[in-house]
Amino acid sequence: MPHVAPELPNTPPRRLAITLIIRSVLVRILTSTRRIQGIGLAWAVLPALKRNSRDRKDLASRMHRHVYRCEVDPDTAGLLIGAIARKEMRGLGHSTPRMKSSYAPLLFHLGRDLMDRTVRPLLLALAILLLLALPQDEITLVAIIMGMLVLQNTFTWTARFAGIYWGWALEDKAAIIFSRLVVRRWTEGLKWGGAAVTGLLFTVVLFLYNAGEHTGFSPAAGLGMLIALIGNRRLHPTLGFFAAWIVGLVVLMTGTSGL
Amino acid sequence: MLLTGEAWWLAAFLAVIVRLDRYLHLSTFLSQPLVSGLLAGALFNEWQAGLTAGLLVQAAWLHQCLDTATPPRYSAKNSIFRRVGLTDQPDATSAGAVAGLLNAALVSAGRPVGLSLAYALFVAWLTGALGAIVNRLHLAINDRTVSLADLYATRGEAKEFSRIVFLDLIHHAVAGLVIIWIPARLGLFLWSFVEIIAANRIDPTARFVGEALIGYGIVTLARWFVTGRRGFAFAMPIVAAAAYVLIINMMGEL
Repeated sequence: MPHVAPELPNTPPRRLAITLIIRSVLVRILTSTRRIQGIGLAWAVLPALKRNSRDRKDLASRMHRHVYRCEVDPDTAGLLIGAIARKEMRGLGHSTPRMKSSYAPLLFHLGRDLMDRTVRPLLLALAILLLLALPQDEITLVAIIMGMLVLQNTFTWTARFAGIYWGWALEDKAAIIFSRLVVRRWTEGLKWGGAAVTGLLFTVVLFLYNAGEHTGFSPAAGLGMLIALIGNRRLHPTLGFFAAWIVGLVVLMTGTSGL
Repeated sequence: MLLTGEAWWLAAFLAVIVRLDRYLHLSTFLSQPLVSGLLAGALFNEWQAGLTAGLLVQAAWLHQCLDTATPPRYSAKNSIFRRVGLTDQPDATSAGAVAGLLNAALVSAGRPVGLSLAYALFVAWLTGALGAIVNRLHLAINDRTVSLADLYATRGEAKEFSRIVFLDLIHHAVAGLVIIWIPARLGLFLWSFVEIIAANRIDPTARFVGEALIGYGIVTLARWFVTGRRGFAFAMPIVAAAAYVLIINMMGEL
C-alpha cells in the first residue's frame, strides 16, 4: 500500500508555532564554514522533528537530514522553517533536502537584497536626512533613532513571524512563486539606498571634519570617491553616492541644521 | 579613572548586546555603528560625540562596495576588511561601538577629541588587530562546537544538541566582552601616551612630517584599492598616527 501523507490544517499548532518563531531568531547560531547555517536551521526545526519521530534512530536520521550545509537569511528563514516543519510532520521529510536546495538560495537572496541592502540603508538614509534637516536637540534625536529602530524591527520581526505561518501553509509552493517573480530584478535598482546613505554620511563627516565649513573637496572626500569608484563594479550606485552627497550639501547649506 | 565602575558595567553589557546582535543577526539595528555610537554616547551623557563617532564609522563601513550593508558571509573574500587587516566584518562594526564609547568617554572627561576621524580609524584598526588574535581562538572553539553538534545530531541526542547551541550563545557573549570592552579600556590607556606627546607642543617640522605621512598613507591605500595587493598592511596605523599628530597640532591644545 503506498504511503499517503496525512493532511494537516493550514495553520501550525499554536504551541509549535511559538517555539518555531523563538528558534528562528537564532538561526545563525553555530554558523561554520562547513555547514554555514545548517546546524542553526536543524535546531530551529527540532521541535517539529521530535513530534512524530518513532525512536531515537528515526530522530537521528531526521536531524542528520538538516544539519547539512544550507545558507539562509534570518529575516526570510521563517518561510523555509515553516515549510520544513510541515513536511516533516506529514512524514514527507525525505523530500526536504531537494526543496531546500532550490528554495533556500531564493530566500537567501530575497532577504539579503530586500532587508540588508534596501530597507536598512534606506532607513539609515532617512534618519541621517532628518538629523541634518531638523533642529538638533535631544528629544528630536531620540525620536528619530527610536523611530528608525521601531520601523526596522517591526518590518523584520513581522517578516519572520508571518514567514512561519506562510511557510507552513504554502510549503514549497512559495518557491515556485518566488522563482516566477524574479525578485532579484526588482530589488537590483533598490541598492541605490546603500550608495545614498554613504553619500549622505560623507557629507556629514566632511562637514564635521571641517569644523562646520562647507568645503567642496578635501583629501578625505577624494579618498572616499576613489573607494566608491574602484570598489563599485557597476556605475549606478556610484552615481547615487554623488547625488546623495549633493543633496546633503544642499540640505546643509540651506537648512537650519544644528549639526 | 575616567569612568565609574557602574558605567563600565553598562559598557560591557552594551558590548555583549551589540556583539550578539551582529553575530546572531537579530536585525534589531543595535549593532549599526550609528546606533551603537549613540548608545555609547548616551551612556556617558555625551550623545553628540557618540553620534558623531558612530557616523564616522558608519560612513567608512557602510557602502556597498565595502560589502558591509550585508551580514558577514564567508563568501565575502574580497572584502576591504581583509585588505586592511580587519579579519571580519563584525569586528569592524564593533569598532563603531568602541569608537563611540571611547570618544564619549574622552569627551566626558574634558578632552576635545570627539570629532577625530583619525581616532575612529585608529580604534577600528586596533579592534581589528585584536579581533584577529581573538578570532583564531574563536574559530577554534567554533570548530569544536560544530563537530560536537554534528555528533549529537548523528546520534539523535536532541537535548545535548540544544545544550551545545546555548553554549555557543554564551561563547558569542563572551566574545563581545573580549572584542569590544577590553580594547576600549586599552584604548584609554594608549590615549594617555598621546596626551604626553601633546603636552610637549608639536612644532611645524613635526606637522610637516605628519602631513607627509598622511600623503604616503593615502597613496598606499589607493594602491591597495587599485592593485588589490595586501602589502604595506602596516600603513593604517601610520596614517592614523600621522593624522593624530596633525590634528593635535591643529587643535593647538588638549
